[in-house]
Amino acid sequence: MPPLTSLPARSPEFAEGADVWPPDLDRRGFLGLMGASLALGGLAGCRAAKTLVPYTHQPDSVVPGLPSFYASACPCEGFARGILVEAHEGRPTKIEGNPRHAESGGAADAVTQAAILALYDPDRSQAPLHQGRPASWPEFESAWREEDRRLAPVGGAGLALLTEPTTSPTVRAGLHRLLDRFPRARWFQHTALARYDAEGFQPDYDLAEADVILAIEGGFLDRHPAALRYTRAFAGRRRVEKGAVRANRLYALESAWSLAGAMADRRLAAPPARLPAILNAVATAWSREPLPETLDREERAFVTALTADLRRPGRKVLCIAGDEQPAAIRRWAQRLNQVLGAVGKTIRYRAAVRSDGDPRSAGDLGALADAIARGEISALAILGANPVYTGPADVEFAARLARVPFTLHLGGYADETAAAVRWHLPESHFLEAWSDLRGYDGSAVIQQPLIDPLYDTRSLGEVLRLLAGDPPLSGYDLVRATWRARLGADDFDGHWTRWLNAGVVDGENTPTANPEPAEAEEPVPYLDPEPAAALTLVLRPDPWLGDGRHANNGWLQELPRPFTALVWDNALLISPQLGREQRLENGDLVRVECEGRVVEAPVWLVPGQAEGCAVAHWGGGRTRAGAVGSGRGFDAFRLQSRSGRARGLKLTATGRKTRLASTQHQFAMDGRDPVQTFALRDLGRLRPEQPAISLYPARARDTYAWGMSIDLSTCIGCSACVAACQAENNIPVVGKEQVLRGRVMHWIRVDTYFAGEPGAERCHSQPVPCMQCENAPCELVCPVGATVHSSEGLNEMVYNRCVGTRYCSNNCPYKVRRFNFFDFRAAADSILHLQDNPEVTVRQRGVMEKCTYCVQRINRARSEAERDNRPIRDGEIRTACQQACPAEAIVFGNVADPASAVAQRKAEPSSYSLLAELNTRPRTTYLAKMINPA
Amino acid sequence: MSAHPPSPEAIVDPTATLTSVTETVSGPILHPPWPRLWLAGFAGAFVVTLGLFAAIGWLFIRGVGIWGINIPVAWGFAIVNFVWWIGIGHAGTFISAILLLLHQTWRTSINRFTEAMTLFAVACAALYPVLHLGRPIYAYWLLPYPDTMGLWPQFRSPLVWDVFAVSTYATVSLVYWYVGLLPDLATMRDRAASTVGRRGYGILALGWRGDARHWAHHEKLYLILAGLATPLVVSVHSIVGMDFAIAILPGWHSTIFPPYFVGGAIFSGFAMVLTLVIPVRALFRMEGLITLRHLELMALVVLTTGWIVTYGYFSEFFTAWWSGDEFERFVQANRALGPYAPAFWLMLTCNVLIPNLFWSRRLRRSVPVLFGVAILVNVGMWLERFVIVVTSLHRDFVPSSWGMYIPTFWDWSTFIGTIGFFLALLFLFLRLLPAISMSEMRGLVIKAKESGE
Amino acid sequence: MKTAYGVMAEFSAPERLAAAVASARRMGYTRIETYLPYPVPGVAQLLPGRPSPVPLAMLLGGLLSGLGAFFLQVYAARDYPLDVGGRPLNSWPAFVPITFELTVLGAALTGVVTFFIVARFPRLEHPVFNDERFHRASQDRFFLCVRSDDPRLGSTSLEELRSEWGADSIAEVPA
Repeated sequence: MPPLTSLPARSPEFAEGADVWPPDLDRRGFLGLMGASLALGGLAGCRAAKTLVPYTHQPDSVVPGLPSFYASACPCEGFARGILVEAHEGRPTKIEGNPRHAESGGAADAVTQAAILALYDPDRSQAPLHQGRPASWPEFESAWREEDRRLAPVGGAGLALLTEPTTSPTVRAGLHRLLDRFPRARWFQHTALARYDAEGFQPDYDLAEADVILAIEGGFLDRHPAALRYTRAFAGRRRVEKGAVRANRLYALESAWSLAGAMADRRLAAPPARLPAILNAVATAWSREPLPETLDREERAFVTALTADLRRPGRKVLCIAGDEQPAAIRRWAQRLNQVLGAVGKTIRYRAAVRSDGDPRSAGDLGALADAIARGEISALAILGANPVYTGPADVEFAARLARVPFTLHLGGYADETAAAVRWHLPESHFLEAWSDLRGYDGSAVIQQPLIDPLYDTRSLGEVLRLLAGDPPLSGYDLVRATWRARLGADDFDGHWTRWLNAGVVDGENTPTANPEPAEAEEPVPYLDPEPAAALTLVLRPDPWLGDGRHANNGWLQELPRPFTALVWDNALLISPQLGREQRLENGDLVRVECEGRVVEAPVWLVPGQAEGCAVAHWGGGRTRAGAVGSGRGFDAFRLQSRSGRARGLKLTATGRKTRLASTQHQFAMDGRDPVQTFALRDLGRLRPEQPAISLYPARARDTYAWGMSIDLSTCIGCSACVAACQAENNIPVVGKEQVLRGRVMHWIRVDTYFAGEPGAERCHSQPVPCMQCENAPCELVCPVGATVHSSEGLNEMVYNRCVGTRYCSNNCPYKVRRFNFFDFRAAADSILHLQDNPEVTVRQRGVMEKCTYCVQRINRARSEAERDNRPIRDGEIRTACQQACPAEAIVFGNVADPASAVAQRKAEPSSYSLLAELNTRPRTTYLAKMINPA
Repeated sequence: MSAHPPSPEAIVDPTATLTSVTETVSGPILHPPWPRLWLAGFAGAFVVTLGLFAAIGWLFIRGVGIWGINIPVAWGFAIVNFVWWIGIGHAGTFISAILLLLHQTWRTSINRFTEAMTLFAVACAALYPVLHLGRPIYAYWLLPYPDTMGLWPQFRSPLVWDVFAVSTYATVSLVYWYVGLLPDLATMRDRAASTVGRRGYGILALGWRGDARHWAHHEKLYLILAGLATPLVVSVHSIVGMDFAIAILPGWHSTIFPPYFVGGAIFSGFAMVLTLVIPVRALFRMEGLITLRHLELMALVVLTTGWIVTYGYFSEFFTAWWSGDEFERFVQANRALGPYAPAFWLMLTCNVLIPNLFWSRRLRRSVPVLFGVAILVNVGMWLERFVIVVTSLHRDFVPSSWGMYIPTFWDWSTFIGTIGFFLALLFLFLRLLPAISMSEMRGLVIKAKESGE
Repeated sequence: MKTAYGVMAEFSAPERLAAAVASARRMGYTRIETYLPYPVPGVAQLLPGRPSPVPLAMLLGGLLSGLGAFFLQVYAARDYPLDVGGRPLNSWPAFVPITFELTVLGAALTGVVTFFIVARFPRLEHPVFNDERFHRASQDRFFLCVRSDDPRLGSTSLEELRSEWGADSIAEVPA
């Protein structure tokens, strides 16, 4: 660690030559640049290097060929997800969870992992734009100085800032600093996504404790800033170990499928309009009054079963309301938790971590729009948000924006908003910039860059400082300044180094604090019944694209959405009953009209969705997302109103059709039970699967016999494994047309099945990688021996030997093999190759490929073990899918060692192999899905 | 089939003499002008062949992705057409070898023609296994050659068996055909007016003089080759059947496949012979040599093999039901009721119902009916292979991976292209070589005379 | 008569040729050749000469190539032992089809080669082609030729031979 004095005065963030992306960058130059950034982003955060480091003087932290890992943070709705980033010779290639960060626990969801692709997105904004024409930072700086001269005398009157709510202490400090400079300036915050604070308090659930859970419209497994932590805790209560489980029971009340609904032991699908009535009924039942007549049979049964369970003594209970729910319902849930005495046991409240409720914030997008309408805004800085796209239709923000004389936008892409402002400034990717973030639990993380900015971009903190007119300071210095102030000076550098190492700032999370306790006898508030609407529109963030910010990410676009397996487009999700009534089939274009707002959208039928509602996901219909994301699907924001209400939905068929690409076409198990389930009460009666006899002599097992076990009781179907596999194994994106032709390339897929009669559907998710059969049918039929068995039981694919007869795929009962029908590789000179994992072959046209159990990881572990002259430890090898899984549903290891975790799992009575009757002897087996009905 | 056709009608026109036989067969080839129809036909076929080359060129440029294949249906038209063509090829060897051993003298006037048909059909078939590879340049990796890295083919794979079966079949058929052709080439040599003709046929005839001792060796060789070709023809389509039967896929994994494929092959082969012979005998005025009797006998073979195929269908369904295996049962049900049901029912109509018209003597002796039925059987047998390949694959074990196969423009153009290629070769053959074995006909004519006296 | 290849008689019907051959043998001619447009039954048997080697050659050729094929496959399976679908290395049933195919191929090719050798093919030039009648030997005429190296040749005049054999014509064939 060099003395701080050696730190350069000018930010080395933009060291000569390091801040531009030379079009003619060759290998050497690239390595040099990467080497430099590696030294910069080095473990100690040492920023000594002022010039490029040629590899003749190799940075001592780098062993060529060995990846290095750095702790950092990935913003997720402004909250921190602790991550570890894998870098090869200075180029970040993969994002993994940081085991030492509470909100990650080593897991990473699909969106977080896909962020690595965004870093190398060729469509990123690369230089400032002035009215759409390329400009430079100095030009902007002078323009701003002028504006500053106008604003400073009047204390910034007429200046408005629009940001997304943030948890970053540095950014918040920067904002406050700016507001200090311009006392009369106003700071607005906008996000289309959920707010997690009610009256300044953030509910935080303890799912490890809760025995009975009522989940209203999902809300804790999918798209929650703490989803990973919640998933792990929840899974802990579903996992059968040594034939035993302390199972919780989950009741789900929802209009459309959520991941929580799919895991529910009892689920009631009800349209939003029915919600108040049902919840009131719960309250009535709780206070032992007769249920109202208005409930139908299913609703009645659900409420009775639920209240019976809630009453049972000694049960810790918990009620969770989805964060997209109206305040009334969230308050109802909060009150119910108090009445049930859950507060302090299964639910805690902590002071809001995110800046939504910041006292200095002047309101949301609507407030800003009104201010503009009143002509109060003369200069507007939009920092990070994309309100032109994500603003509610009736705000008509684009029109308002036109009335502001000076507008600037800071963002990673030249998006819809950038096109509507005078100045667009390119923002650095979070892997390029220093910052800090807080997790949902308040724990702080230093966001450490892995690489110098690839383009002429700057971070939000730096721009805030620029706007405040302070002398420029590097993001690095800004962040250090923030934390030095918090810590005081004693051995700051020691702490700093430790924080960067661990990826967590120790002793930093907001204490829990409960809202003023209401009187115990105060009843659960009565919810006003909604007027019975024929059809309600449910607007939700896209599972992957969120509010559309990730629309230009090919991995996410091609990642099958839960429950529909749709890729590349969003659709209006309706129930099959509704489809039958209106004679609509998948892909039929309908005219969607809601309170005068109109869009045209294709419909998709989802079994188990409540009648009387249609679900639309945001994130489609982008016009300036980039080459990948523009023009995909329809824009659901055009249906959204400020009030968030969306009643009186009208669908009219246009008679036209569009082709929606889905990776799965059959959602019924067709009596084949690829997913096996059992009720908890039958756990004792399960008998382990007996291996079928074989005509062939048994093979002697090697020291290692690799195998995998996937626990369907805990798999929530979040597809993190698919994204992890894609990042690890250089799996190409093939595009909508090829998906329509059935040529998606994912090595592991998450199958979705709907079981049960209409009205009581269950949804099962099943991750399916290669089964690594011991008697592999694929191997027998390969004419050139391109797929053969290793002594350790891997079903190996020899790309160089493959001639592409595709017989192996025909003969694979699990259809897990993927074929390069075309050359799916990115262009040879594409920047996307910077993300490639150098340890995995990039496959050429005409060869078959498939899951290899991450053989490159096995071999790395083997060479390390052999170097230390010891056997490979259990758990030392983690496949990419296993590593990413927040539910720890996937376990990989040596089945020859009875003590290994995987061997233990395979010994569970609920263990079974897929299509066992074929006697292919899969090394990948499943644990049947446990269901805990009342 | 009895040793002598049961009908009083002769299989050669009784007025024929050695001279007239030679003249009728070699005349049209040696004495221009060539029929306009031939020119038109050849031109057409040639253009389609060019289309085939274009399709293959594009395939090599872009890759097999230009076809409709996908996961799960990784085999499509290429394999369907391969099996179809190979099947057609079988009639040739069957007629010239098996019927020779059975002393079916009526075969004489059609065997040369059908052998040629065999060769050309096999040529078309042999294209597909190479074209359908993801990396066709490495097709030779399926052959056992001394590789510097000591790599060998994986001999347990039916695809390797295929390589050997098809190449053996092609070679032996060619040899058999050429050996039988030698004496006639000599005749052509001796009758050719032009020097080019004399030289050309002369070289091909290798100096055949008709020496009685040569005839003796020749007869021996020809007979044993026939004896070899007989099990060969059975083995080849059995192995093609095993391409499917070896797989564990329901709808493929079935022991009935080898015999059922052989039956189907002869069925479609004879249908194709009828389809071709009927126009040819009219075009070259060979009604005297290929009589209605021949057509009728071939119709009877079609009828018989049609029932073999019918039995194959039945046993597939029966065993599927009897096995109680849900996957097997589903595949059969899915064929009859699934998205590809039209292909299935059309197949049954063409292969099971239509051939039964031949129970009626009047119908099987009506040339238009024969022609029409033959065409339909060709269609039906193509559909059979389509049903086997596609419907088995598109919905197999795990429902989540079910899919559909929709042939693309390039699928179709490659298929139609090979038909053009086949016809082009056939037209050339008719133009350049005696389509009927003159030497064998001579023996027949003399025999007919003797029995006449 | 050194310049002549032999004496060639022409017949218009197979039975007359057969008769002529018989009488020629009776008259003690040994160097006899006959040329026929199609294999006339029985004629070959009238001529001196050993039985055809073709069948035996084909048998041996077939056996050799078949055995070779089988052991090639066994060797390939053991040369670099690979676990293929958990099957035994020496999965002989899977090796049968190729063994059979190569047996047939071997037999067929040996047969043809042997035939060409015994018939001394290709031989595009031959004295009998010099006879201007001979082009019909491949069409509708039957020929009997006594080579000039036959000791008995010349003892009888051509005219006598013609009437004796009932040939349509008879003449010397220049060498």
